[in-house]
Amino acid sequence: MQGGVLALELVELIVTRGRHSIGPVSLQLAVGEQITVVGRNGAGKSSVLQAIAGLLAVTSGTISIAGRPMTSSSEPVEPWQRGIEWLGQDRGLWPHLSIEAQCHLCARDGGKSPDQIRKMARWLQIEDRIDRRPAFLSGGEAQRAELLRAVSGAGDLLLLDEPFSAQNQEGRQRIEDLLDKECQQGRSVLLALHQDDSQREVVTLDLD
Amino acid sequence: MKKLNVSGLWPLIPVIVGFYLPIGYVAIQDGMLEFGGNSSDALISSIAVIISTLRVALLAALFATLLGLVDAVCLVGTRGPARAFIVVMLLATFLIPPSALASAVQGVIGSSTLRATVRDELGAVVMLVLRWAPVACAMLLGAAAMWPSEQERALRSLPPWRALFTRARGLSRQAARCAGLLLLLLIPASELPSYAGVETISQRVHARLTVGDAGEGWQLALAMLIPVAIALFFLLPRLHDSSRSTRDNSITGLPGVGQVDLLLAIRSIPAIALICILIFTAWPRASELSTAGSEILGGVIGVLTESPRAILVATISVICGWRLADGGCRWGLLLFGLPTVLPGSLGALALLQSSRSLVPPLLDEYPLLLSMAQFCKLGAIGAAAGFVASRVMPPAEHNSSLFLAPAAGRWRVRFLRSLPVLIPAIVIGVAVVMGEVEATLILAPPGHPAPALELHQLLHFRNDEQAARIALVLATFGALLATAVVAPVARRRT
Repeated sequence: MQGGVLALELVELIVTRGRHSIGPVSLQLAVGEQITVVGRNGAGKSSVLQAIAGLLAVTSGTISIAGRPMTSSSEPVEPWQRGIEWLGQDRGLWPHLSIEAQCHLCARDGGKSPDQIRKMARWLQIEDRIDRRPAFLSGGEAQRAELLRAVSGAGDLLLLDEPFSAQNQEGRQRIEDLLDKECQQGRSVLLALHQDDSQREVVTLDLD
Repeated sequence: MKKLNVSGLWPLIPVIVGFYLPIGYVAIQDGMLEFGGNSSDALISSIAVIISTLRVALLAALFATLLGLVDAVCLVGTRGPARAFIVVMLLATFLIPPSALASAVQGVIGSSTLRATVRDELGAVVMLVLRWAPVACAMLLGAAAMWPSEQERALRSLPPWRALFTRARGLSRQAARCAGLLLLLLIPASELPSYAGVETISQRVHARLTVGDAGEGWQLALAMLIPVAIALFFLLPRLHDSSRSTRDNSITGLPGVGQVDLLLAIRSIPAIALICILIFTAWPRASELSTAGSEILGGVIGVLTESPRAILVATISVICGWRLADGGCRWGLLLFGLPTVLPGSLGALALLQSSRSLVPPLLDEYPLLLSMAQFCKLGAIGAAAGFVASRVMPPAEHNSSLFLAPAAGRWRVRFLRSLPVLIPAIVIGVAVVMGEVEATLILAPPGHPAPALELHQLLHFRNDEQAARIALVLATFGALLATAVVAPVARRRT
């Protein structure tokens, strides 16, 4: 933990999706750490991540990012103001821009340099694809490209929903290595997965 | 509760300045607030006209939507020959000015005179359906384009007719919304019903404002506006729900159905017949060749001079509507769209009375007030386009754009992604502005080229040949605009 400030803290967080309440969920994610939220289908993993990102309303409980409360203030904190980079479960690449243009757009406010983006693209084995638009990528490449876009931004907290779902073993390993490097540089990662066999700390969600 | 973002309401400024302030000022001056015994009498005496207006608007909205639904399902669900041409023909009846359409319909049914055969509500409904079915078709084509790729592929594995019915059922909710929007657009319609000899509430309001009791006219307008505003506010569904999705542009796997091709060919006949009538009427005798040539040239110059202004007005209106929808502002969209529900002459008259003296003499020859009135009149088209465009983007893409700074997310991602919806809406707006007569009649500066107004006057004086020449020029311009929109789509689908 750097300086005692947590990258993310959830206290008794409850979110509602449709008729179902999810939670309460409590967790503490230190700077430079990775935590995985696991649970069966429909347990609410994605909903919790969306609530943290500001994409879903919080029913009760608190969310703090880098020591800054997101839920107690009367002024809502917009997603772009939270210091978060996001990879959703469904593909969210913008089809009218090349991968490179999307990465540069996200990196404009203090994110990675063009050289760093290219280096990461090489590591993710999509360097020769980043001048293409998303329609010309395979499913696995599109997922790695979207991860590249997320990592290119300046936010210190990465929220990744099923980032390995379209990857083979090698692709998964490369993404995990990249995330380890990012954590060594002071970023923190919260993942949502069906199951996690790695060494990461795990929080299990169960929908009543 | 979401806090109101005041800075996002800037698109409302032109509507407030160009519509609400003049309307409020003039309405109060004309005695709208002086309710007395005559007010209720005026309303009661207008009930028959109100019922007739609603009946015509409702029937026209329903039939136009039904026709548009069939067209859209056939176009999107099958592949076949000359689809780009058929789309242009299906859109043509909207792109031809209403006066020319009315004249041609009457010509087909049995009379070449302006106010003859089609002199009842049925005639008004037929003409309104012909004019507005293409808009329903365009809206439902847009909605069909929002099918997720996987659903689209699953549909292509069904037998052709079952797939077509499934598509139609899938579009039924959007069709209901489309019928509602058309109803709102058709309630204030006055030009086409007037050619059929049907008095509508818009005409009565206009008559009261110009030659009768102005206060009574404003009270009628208010009575017309309030229920529509309340209905709109409660019917306008919440923005940013999760119905957005992507589409599959390829035609691989779509069935080719002979009966559908035949149906689409039959549907193109009215537009082709209309154009043939115009050509037949416009065809000059040998002695008129040079006159006809100069009339067509004059029409072309008029269209070329007027079209940049029409494009500018329609573009700004659609962008403003999209900005309000993107900001999720339901009140703003309602205020933006309401001017469309009132007669065009109402806003124009108010603008003329309240603001004409404020315009510096130097600017007298420029159509500033006319542009302002037409901008306000396009509000519902801008609002509807913005509303649809805000739903076209898949939720995953939309969510990703929320992590960018607001301006970058809005203009570099969501706006560009909305263009496939906004550009057709701009084309519809341009067609409306180019064919608009009510505000032009009141606000166009002397000598301002206005082909639709000229056409209207020529038909009024029964100069059918010259009118047909100008209508042909306008129709060609409209067809070129439609082709500009259809061509890229057709290229992607092949």
